[in-house]
Amino acid sequence: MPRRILLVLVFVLAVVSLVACSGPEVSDAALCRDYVHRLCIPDICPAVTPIFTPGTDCETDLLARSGCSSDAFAFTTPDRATFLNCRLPLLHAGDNVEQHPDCDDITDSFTNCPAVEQMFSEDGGTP
Amino acid sequence: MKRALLPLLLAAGCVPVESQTRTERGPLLRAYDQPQVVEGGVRADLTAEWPKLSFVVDGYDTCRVLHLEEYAEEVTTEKSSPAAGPALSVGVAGTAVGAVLLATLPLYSNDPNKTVIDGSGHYGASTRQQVTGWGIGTLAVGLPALVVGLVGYFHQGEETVTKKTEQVSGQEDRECNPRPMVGPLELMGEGGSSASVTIADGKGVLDAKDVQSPYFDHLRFYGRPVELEDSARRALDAFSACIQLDRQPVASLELLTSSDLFKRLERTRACHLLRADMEAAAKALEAELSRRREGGEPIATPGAAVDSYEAALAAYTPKVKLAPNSPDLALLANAGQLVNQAVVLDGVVEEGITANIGVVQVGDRSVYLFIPSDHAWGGDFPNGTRMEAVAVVTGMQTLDDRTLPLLRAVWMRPAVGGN
Repeated sequence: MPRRILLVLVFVLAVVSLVACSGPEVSDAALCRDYVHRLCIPDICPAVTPIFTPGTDCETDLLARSGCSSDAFAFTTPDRATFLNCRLPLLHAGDNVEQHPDCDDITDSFTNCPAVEQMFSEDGGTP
Repeated sequence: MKRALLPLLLAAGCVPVESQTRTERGPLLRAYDQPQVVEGGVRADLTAEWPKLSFVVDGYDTCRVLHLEEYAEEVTTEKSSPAAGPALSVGVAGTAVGAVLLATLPLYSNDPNKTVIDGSGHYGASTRQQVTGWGIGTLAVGLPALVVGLVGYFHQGEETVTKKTEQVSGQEDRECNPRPMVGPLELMGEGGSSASVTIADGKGVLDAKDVQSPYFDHLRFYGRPVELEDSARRALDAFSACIQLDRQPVASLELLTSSDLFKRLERTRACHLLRADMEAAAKALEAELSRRREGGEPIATPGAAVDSYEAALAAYTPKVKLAPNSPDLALLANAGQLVNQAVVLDGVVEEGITANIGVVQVGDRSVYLFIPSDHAWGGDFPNGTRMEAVAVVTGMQTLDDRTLPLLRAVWMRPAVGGN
């Protein structure tokens, strides 16, 4: 009986922890903007340099190309779930929005997710 | 109500409560007797008139009186819960903190933490969410601990119960309700049942010719042992001996070995209790044994009953005396001629060689004396003890490079007037 009570207690604490540790879901536009923001935090990594127009602001250019500067942006290709998976390498350094990702993680994200990289090409990113 | 009780019951199951009970006897309240009737036994009286053996078989109960004493007894149970204190501390602190956190929730912002977006695409938890988690967590720990502590705390204490207790201080048994028995009575020996007698109204008669095997020595009634007085036991033994003699006639005593002569003499003497004509037979056997002794035959039978020095002298009639200054002592120079001869030994214990072989000094000679371990000897024999023994010469024996005549003791005792 004491063992069962302990298990119930642990379960309650686990549920409470999960509920208490995350807030509301981020919109597609905010998620996309977070991705772009992380890519463009100086110093910009070599893998990012080729995908925005030289002489322009990285974040402004990529937001324009992807279309996610608009609050009405919604993921199509890739879809939201795919995008979240492709974003995961960028969180290895931390999930704070101002955390500069490791350049190798950015390269991995592009390598494994050509659809995401395509979002930022000159002809891509149309929702 | 039941739902409210459940956590308390569960908590009570968790609370380790140590319990110590001590019992103190109070004053004697009263003493009284309690009569009981318990299983008794079966007893038989035997009367023999050859060739008939008459039985009177009675059964009885055992009437028992138990002497009881009734005391007042105080049983004190001390309960303590070493975990109650720490559990209360944790419980009070956890519950208070949890309650305060939950009570002040409106004071905290409910805006999500937008500086963080996790891998699943969610913002970080708001401050209110985090406080809610901490509040529930501390309550989840604090409330059970509080209940456990309270249950343990209220379980502590001392409880004394006074009760009466009885103790048997003694008992008296006596035979009661005697009654004649009815049923089959069996004469039993090592080989099982030898004969069966039907007992009616407590009485029965057995004829010697109805006995299958003459070897019996006790009685059973419906599988239960039957008690016999000494006189009844002697009658039973005599009846058995008479049947054995009847069924083993001997054409000539000369044909019997000395051992068989002894056995037959024992039976004849036992049977004499029932048959006066056995006196002549006993005398004939004794005469034959005496004749053999006179002729020099050692009547040293393993079965001969020897339980004293005098009995050993009577049974073995030694003709050789090995004592200091005895002329027979010179015979030891050629001990081979004395083999199987019974001797009287008078000497001093010199040393023990093994558990049951010692060296005895006789004058200027020494002998090994073998002492069979199946006898209860008439005393102790430390080194230097002067002793006398009836023994049988068995030959020469070498032990520890020393060769001496070996004698087997029939009976030995410290010498009269010896040290």
